Amino acid sequence: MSPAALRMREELVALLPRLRRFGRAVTRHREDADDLVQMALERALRRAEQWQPGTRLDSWMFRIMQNAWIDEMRSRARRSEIFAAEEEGEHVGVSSAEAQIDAIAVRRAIAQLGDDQRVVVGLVLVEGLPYKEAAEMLDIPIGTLTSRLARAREALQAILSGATEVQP
Amino acid sequence: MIDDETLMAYADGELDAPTRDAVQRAIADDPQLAERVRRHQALRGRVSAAFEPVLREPVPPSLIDALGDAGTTPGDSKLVDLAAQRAAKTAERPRQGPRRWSWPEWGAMAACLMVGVVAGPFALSALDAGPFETSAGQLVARGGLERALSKQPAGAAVKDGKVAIQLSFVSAGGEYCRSFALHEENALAGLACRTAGQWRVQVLVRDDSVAAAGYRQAGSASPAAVLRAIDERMRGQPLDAQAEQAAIARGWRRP
Repeated sequence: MSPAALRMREELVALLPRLRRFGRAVTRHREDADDLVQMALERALRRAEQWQPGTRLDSWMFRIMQNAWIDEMRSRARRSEIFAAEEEGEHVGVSSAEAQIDAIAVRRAIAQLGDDQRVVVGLVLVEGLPYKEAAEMLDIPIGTLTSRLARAREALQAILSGATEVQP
Repeated sequence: MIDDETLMAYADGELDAPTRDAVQRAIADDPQLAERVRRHQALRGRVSAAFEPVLREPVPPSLIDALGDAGTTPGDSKLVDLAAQRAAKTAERPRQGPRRWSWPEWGAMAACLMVGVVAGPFALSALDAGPFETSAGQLVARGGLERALSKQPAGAAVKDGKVAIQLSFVSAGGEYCRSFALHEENALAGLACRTAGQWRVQVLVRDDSVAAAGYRQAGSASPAAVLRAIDERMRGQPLDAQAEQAAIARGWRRP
């Protein structure tokens, strides 16, 4: 293995927890999230030469995951699969009961957003990417990113403050 | 008139200096604007907190397998796992026959801070005395470590040679976090974040470089696992001395 490929693999190992977290935000499901990470890892290794050492590997991977997820959604739509709902109270190791309840509420609210808004929330609010990085990753102007993010936040506030219906 | 997108960008620290200053002035005159900024920040904190625990989950072996032989992180410190220790206490582990962990798996465990391995004379149970205690399944600092985290400026001369504080910052979730190194019976390095009036230990690593040298200097580097934990959490820049003093004076409550 070339030193660059080896280095990429090492960095990917370190990134795995964040890739899983981003996958969870994007897909809404634990199993889907891990399948998506796996798919993205395989794609990344196949085109390892396209990654330039010194550039952000996280953004590069998020982009591969996002594209893989779009492909997956399309093929599911063709197969007319129905999405199972996220299980209530899925266990994620939060330390206090109160925090656990809030975390569930927040994750469920994000799951109600449309795909475009959810990925923006995942990149900026969950993964902490700067607007510029997130916009570049999605190939959209920064203004589009900002307005998507603002609408997503508005929708989340509405869901979390108890409003039942939201315009995604 | 400031629109909501600008306020949001302000809350996210995304504005250039002149716009940021203008928003700051407007906020000072308008409690309603300040409240909207606060709502943006609070939501960001909640979203970040809702997914943060995923980082502490063990990574499924299938994902590590997908990476082949790359998982080793040579030269990394031996890690002491908190989450795995909790898990081992509360859950029985289904075992399908004897199985050896491969190096890639260890590497990935280190990466997700599933710091599990205890090598040598060091045992985790010993942590329940001394500088740590467990509270609701969470390791928190106490005693001299708690005092140093609360009162000692980063980089200052190491007080009584026991605790060095290296770096203070605000996490993406809006908590104050500080990295520390301890030199008692074992040399340990870690990261603690301030939540609900406690310094909760996020990662704790046995620091063999210190064991080898026999001492630690205030400015010496943190182990890779601690740096990764910092890197993953930190929002913006580390606190400067002034911001740190102000935080100490406020008892580490966010302004």
